[in-house]
Amino acid sequence: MSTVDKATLSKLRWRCRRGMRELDSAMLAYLENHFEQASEEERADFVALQEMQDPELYRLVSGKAKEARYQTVLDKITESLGAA
Amino acid sequence: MTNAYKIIDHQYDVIVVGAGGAGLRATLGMAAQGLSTACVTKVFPTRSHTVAAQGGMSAALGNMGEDHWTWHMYDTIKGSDWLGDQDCIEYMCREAMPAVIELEHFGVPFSRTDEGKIYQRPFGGMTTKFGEGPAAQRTCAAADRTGHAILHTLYQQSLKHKAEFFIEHFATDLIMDDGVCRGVVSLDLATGELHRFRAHQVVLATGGCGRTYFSATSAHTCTGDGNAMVLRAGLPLQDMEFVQFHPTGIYGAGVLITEGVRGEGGYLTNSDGERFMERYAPNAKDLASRDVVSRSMTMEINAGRGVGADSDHIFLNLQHLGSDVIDKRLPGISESAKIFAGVDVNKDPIPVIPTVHYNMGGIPTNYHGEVVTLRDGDPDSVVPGLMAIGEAACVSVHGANRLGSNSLLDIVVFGRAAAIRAAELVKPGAPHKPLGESAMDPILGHLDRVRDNKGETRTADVRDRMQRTMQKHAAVFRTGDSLSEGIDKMRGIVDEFEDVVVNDKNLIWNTDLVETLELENLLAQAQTIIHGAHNRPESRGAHARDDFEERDDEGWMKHTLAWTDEKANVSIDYRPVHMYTLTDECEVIPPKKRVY
Ligand SMILES: Cc1cc2nc3c(=O)[nH]c(=O)nc-3n(C[C@H](O)[C@H](O)[C@H](O)COP(=O)(O)OP(=O)(O)OC[C@H]3O[C@@H](n4cnc5c(N)ncnc54)[C@H](O)[C@@H]3O)c2cc1C
Repeated sequence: MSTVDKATLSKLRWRCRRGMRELDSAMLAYLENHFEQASEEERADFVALQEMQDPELYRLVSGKAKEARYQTVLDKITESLGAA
Repeated sequence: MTNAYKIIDHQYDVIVVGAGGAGLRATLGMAAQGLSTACVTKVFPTRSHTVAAQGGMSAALGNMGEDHWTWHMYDTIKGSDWLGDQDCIEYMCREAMPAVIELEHFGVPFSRTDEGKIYQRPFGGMTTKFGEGPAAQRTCAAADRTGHAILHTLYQQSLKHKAEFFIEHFATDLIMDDGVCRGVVSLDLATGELHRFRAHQVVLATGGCGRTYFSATSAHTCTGDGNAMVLRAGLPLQDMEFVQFHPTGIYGAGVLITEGVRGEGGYLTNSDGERFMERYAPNAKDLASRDVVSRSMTMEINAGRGVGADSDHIFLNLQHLGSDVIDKRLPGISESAKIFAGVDVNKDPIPVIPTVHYNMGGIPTNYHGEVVTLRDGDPDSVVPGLMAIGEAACVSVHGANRLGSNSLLDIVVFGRAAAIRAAELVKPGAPHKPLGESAMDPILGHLDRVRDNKGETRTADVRDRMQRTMQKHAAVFRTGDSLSEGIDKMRGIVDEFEDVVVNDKNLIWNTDLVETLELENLLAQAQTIIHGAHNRPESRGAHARDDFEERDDEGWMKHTLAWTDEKANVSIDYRPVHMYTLTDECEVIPPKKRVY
């Protein structure tokens, strides 16, 4: 795991801005609690999730849809939100 | 110290700020009529808050039974508690039908009936025969993703018509020259460069300001930047004290828990475990209207009977319903509660709090979308070069209280109206007047001031104090005393902004700077809300004063206008409510008591 530069983190923080309040919280929870400690591969999965449209992303975050590739990130989101 | 900024110049016929439903509908309409059009947006268009709207959009199509736009007009005026402008409401309800049909032609996949017509569902406050007939089925939806479908479709159509998009650009200020709007300046978040857009019309479609409060169902982007730009330009906002609350947002997360939960037998309890709604509304109990339930919850919290470590919220119980009922009738609720409150609804109650849902107030406009102000005694004086639409605007079609599914209608109808008007006002390719020498000074000075602040205070801390103060003193339960106390606290919080430091002086992806600019915007709007609320000694729609429980049509059937100075001190004046219609095809609805 490598350190993440400030501008990249700041950009990712901006991209946690979603149309739905639910997803703002979900994406920010991962970025603030897990992103920097994560492997390169997991970080790439998070960035890929950020690129999704809100309805698709919400299906994944709420567990209505599953995609194996993202499960680690999604589990961490659920864990951080539940603890909030 | 003045920082050197790299400034990139652009000229367009029209500029739209905001790519939600309102901004995209205007962008498409303007581009399609041959105007060179650019749309500036701080988030990617389909991440605008409009995406959260799932319920749908009203229009008296009459696909499910008899309906008429005049009935829709009646419902909207009554819902507005007679603060809505009746000419504008007539326009909206009349234009609803062509606006929906156009959306359908653009490609919005509305849900359909068996005969292939657009399906329409019932929604609160929508009736037939001027309130005398049964509930209307008037709300059109594209399954549970109406907002997304509208954004996606309008964005594609805008690109097709060669509109240009500047995405992840944060608009900071309007370029004003002698009372005329001549353009807007934005910060490109990715490059840190400033862009100076010249245009013959600037259209603000920047959405609501839910983030002024601690608990809001709206997304983090909803900071009402356009409203604050208007205040900085020396123009007023209208009716900002009218803020709609939904009773059951998840405490802390703001996530909405639908009314359906109480419909299925869920109930609210205080720290004594008491079902307190039985005291406030013996008949309807937990199913009383949104404003009544929200007020009762707040009174329990204020009386020290809130739950949780800070005794500042209420429990929503559905444990007794059993998992069968919950899964079958309330899909999605157990997931939301689990993820956002960490609660298993089969075992424990959900912590909830009345939550800001919609801003009825905003930038005053006429039904063409042109911004108006009170000038030399004329309350309808148009501000040349400036338009506003959507939740940012106050046309006013929602008056003191918005009906569900009327906001998506508002954004589409007035986005379209603004495009029609712009095509009348602007000649494609007309040259731009040179800007006055000093036109950019206030804009760069503003940026410098925020960047050069030297202090100790963190943006997030001031924002938190503002949000909690507004939630406590300017929420659902309002009295003169509590509002005065809130006004004093807000003064201190606004002054603290001078001490907020932005550590990073870099302009590339400086999210901290942007969040600080947004905070400044929120503070100015919070001031207009709390001062407007204190100033209005009556109860009307969403504004309920416990020390003035009745509506006062004699004294207060008028719009509040609120200006702020550079210290965010507020001054107030008024505009009359339009008690006339546009045409003689309908009649003015005279004020009555609003009972359902
Ligand atoms: C949970 C929820 C459900 C809802 N459901 C419904 C419903 O079913 N029916 C209904 O009618 N209404 C509903 N509403 C209300 C409705 O969604 C909103 O009022 C409406 O979508 C607002 O649209 P808009 O285009 O005005 O603004 P938004 O969609 O908020 O768009 C604002 C735009 O402005 C841009 N912007 C803001 N500031 C800047 C800046 N400084 N620089 C550049 N760009 C900027 C943003 O990037 C964004 O593109 C709901 C609201 C919520 C919270």
